[in-house]
Amino acid sequence: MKVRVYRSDARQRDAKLIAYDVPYTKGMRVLTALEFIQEHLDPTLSFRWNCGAGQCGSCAAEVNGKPVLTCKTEIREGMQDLSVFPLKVFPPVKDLVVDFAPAQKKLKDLRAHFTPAREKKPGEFYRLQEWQVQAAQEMRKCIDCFICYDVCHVLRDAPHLNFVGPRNLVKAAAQEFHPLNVVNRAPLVEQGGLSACNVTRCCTESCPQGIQITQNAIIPFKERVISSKDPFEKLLKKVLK
Amino acid sequence: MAQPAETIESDVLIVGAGGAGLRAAIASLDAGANTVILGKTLAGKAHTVMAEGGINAALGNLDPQDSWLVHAKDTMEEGINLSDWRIVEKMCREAPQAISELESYGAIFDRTPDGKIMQRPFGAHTYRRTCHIGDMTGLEMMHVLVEQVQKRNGRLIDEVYLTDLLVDGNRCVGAVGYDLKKGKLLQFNARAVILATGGYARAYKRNSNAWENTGDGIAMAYHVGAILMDLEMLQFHPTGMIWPPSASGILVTESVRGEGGLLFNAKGERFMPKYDAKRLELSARDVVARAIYNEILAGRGTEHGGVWLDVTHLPAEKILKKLPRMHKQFLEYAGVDITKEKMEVAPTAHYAMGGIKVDPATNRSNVLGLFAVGEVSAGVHGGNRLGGNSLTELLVFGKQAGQAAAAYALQQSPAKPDAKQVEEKLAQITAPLERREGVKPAELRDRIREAMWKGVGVKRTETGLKQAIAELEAVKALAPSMKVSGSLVYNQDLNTAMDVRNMLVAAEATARAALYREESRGAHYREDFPETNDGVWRVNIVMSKGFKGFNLSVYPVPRPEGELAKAIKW
Repeated sequence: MKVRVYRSDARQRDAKLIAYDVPYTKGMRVLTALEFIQEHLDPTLSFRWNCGAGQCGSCAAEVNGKPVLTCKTEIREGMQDLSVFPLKVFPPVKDLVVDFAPAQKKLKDLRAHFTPAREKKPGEFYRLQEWQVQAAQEMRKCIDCFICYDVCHVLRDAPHLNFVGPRNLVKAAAQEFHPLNVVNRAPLVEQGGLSACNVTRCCTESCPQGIQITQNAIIPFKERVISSKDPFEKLLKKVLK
Repeated sequence: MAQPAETIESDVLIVGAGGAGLRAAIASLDAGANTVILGKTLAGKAHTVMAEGGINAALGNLDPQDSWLVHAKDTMEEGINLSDWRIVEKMCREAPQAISELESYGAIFDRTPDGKIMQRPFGAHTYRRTCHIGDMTGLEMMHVLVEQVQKRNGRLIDEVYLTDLLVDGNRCVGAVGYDLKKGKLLQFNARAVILATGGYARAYKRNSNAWENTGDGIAMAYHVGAILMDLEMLQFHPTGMIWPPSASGILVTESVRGEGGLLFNAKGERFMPKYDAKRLELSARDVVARAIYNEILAGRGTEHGGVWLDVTHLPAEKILKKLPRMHKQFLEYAGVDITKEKMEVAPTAHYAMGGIKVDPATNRSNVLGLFAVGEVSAGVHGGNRLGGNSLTELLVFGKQAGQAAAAYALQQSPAKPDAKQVEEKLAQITAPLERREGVKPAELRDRIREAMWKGVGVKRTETGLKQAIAELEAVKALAPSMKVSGSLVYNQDLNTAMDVRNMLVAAEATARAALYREESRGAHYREDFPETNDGVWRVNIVMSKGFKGFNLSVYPVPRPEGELAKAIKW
């Protein structure tokens, strides 16, 4: 089997696609093929991985044009051609390794940490019902693999809009939907370029954790932004105050 | 000579950004210390994310009879009287507080019908006390701990491989390593260092651990004279995946059995009643692991050398709600739908109960200014770890270590490591890159892993252990001639070379301690000494660096006092 892997350094000098011959074994993953190349053909190949069990989200790469977790993407029998590229939306570090720092930085503006009304007393426990916590729990399944960034049209085609990106919205939603949260993040996500998202659902379809990013994180935020601007709602809030 | 490209100063340097390191960071930051946290992998992706089952605390939400004392008794008994009772007592007393804190950081646990934190049954626990978030407890913990560190503006530098500690006499004053992404050599000056580097099960061929778990902390501490303890106690989780080979070793959480999963051999017999008629599938981990191992050795194993774990008798909705990750894992990695088909499993190297010996009240090691917490430390789990106790340990002692290290650091003069020492240590990183020829690091790594699996595994014998030690010594002799091509930038082959250095220390210590302990206790099973002998062996085997390799001696296990003394047979 031929596996073509993108090779380059950080400055993308002599970026090239190198084809390696890898023996196929049944049940083999893309990560297994990369490990084989590194161990037997070229020890200088760089790629990220950690748990090898689909739980840490370190090993995302574009396999045949589609970003996936390489540790759980099976190479099907008869697959003759396999190409592996880094997540192209991020600055390259080396070969398949990219730098997530720009995305991490944007998260800082979203107050993506728990913000309850009051500090808890030591030893106190919350009373929460299962139905109250489900929305937030879904968002907490995120493993920060950044595959959703790689498929996002806004991030790929319009970097000047400075969009915070789907994963960061999921992180913000994980806090926003905490039943005891009191901070309204609608203005923050609006500043983060939320309106640029045209809900094509690409992020949702690519999420290895099955998080309904568009439906359950992005659209609720969009609704919050709109309702915060609705003159009637503004008036209603004033009256209620 | 090799020079650092950058020197980073801090009061407290925390090595390891998993649950223990992050919790220590929060405590250290709250105490006002300038804190730097280093991760070997990307921020938020440390091995703690893989902790599935949950975290123990005697909240008594489902079983009101539960108390810290019962929790402590269960822990001591599972540890076959090798745990330090002072550490165990503190952990069990403070566990509820730790859970409450985690909640205040924003963690959302699964709930009971009346809105309290849900607790599930787990192997060898008297009561239901394992708090959980589906089977993604570790992931949720990591999320909220990273958020809290960021909220406090803690400086978390990820993808740094730390290779050596720096000492000034008997005081630890910093460390050296390299930044993977930037490809730069780094020096860290610190008034106190906390090791939270996790375990070393990667030294075994079949293991459930992530890339990073190669015993780095144990090796670094050993080289500067820290005392190691209970290294022979390496837990084999009874259930790891075995098929296909690329999934080999991946953990199948104990919650599968906690939620009602049953074990069958290839003949279709439910075999656990033969080994533990009372606790059955939820017996202690070492008992279940050995039972499975026995069935396989006796020729009652499956085609790929495992046994069957079955949940098909449970309602599909329950499986999807309580074990979503397992359902996905088997579907994606083995093409098996666990609501309809059985899982093929076998024991996998999982957790190091042993590690750096620490002071129960401060997590200090015997080296001044050097602290250790989490899997890299010893004392809580003794001969065997109770499922769900490692996450409790991380929080309770992460906090203690962070507070103690900060308090110590703030009283010290600034650290001034010796430049020559820094050069020497850094040269060990660059040496493999400068060699024109030599051995491949991956080859040595595989030899270590093979030797450990064969000789220092689920069942051990004198002959097997001696063979393993001979092989490890052969590898050790080759290690100084490892050759790596390429540069310092994201060079995984170089990482492997450093892993080999570290794994060799942890592996040899494990094998030597296992050879020394001529009895069977907990995770340590000697076929030539199958009985537990409290008269002679209720001792902790401790090791430290001598002139010619390991100095080995024994300390009697501290005898429980107070309420615990009454609860435990001694």
